[in-house]
Amino acid sequence: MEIKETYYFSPCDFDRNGKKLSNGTPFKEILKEFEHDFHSRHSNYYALYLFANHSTMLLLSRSCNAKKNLIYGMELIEDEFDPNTNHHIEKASNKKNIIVYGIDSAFMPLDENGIPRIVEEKMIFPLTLLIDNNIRDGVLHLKYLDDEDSDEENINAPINIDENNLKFIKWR
Amino acid sequence: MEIEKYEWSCIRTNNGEWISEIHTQILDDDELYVFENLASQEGRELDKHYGHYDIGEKYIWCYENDINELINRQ
Repeated sequence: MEIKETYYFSPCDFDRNGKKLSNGTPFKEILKEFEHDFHSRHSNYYALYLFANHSTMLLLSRSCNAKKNLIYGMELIEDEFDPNTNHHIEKASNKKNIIVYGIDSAFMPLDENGIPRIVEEKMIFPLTLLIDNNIRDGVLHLKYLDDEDSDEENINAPINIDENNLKFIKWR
Repeated sequence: MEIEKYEWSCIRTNNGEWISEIHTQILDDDELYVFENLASQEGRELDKHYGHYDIGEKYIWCYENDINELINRQ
């Protein structure tokens, strides 16, 4: 099953630090608004995947004040989501750059130490970041995907997703 | 090639990023003491991150590159 929503923004509205020129709002907060919108449209589901191009991932990383060697988003491999192949490539590299596979989602509740936590039973996981350079600047897709057979909200069959790989990331 | 599910995990940074555990090194109290001292000798703070196991026990981890650099400078 796939649920997909497309969101639009204007990259030129943001400065080099990923903050909105008009009011200083970081792009990561705009993304949280998109996640809330997604959930309000599909109340039983939370967005699990962000698809965007390199420029948008860079904008996101700057807005998160990320360390310079952290690279937000994993590449699609032959147009498919394949975290294990990404991980093998990362392991084989010199390890100077670090792939950020996901970021805290807008819905992760805080534990007693104030740290966002995963709620597996509600399908609240980090937002997985996927780079798709076929997506133009100023556009991103939020998706919920699972590998269970269900006709509910079956909008489009995914064309660039290896469904067998959907659960290959273990968040801990 | 058949790849095992869950052969690796992501760990959260204090900044809300989820990275592969291959870049991290979990430190016990003694190691933490040593590396905090080594970092302070270089006039900086150790970049520490906090996590907890499923059972709730907390741990502290650092970037493996940072630890290796501190070791190699000795």
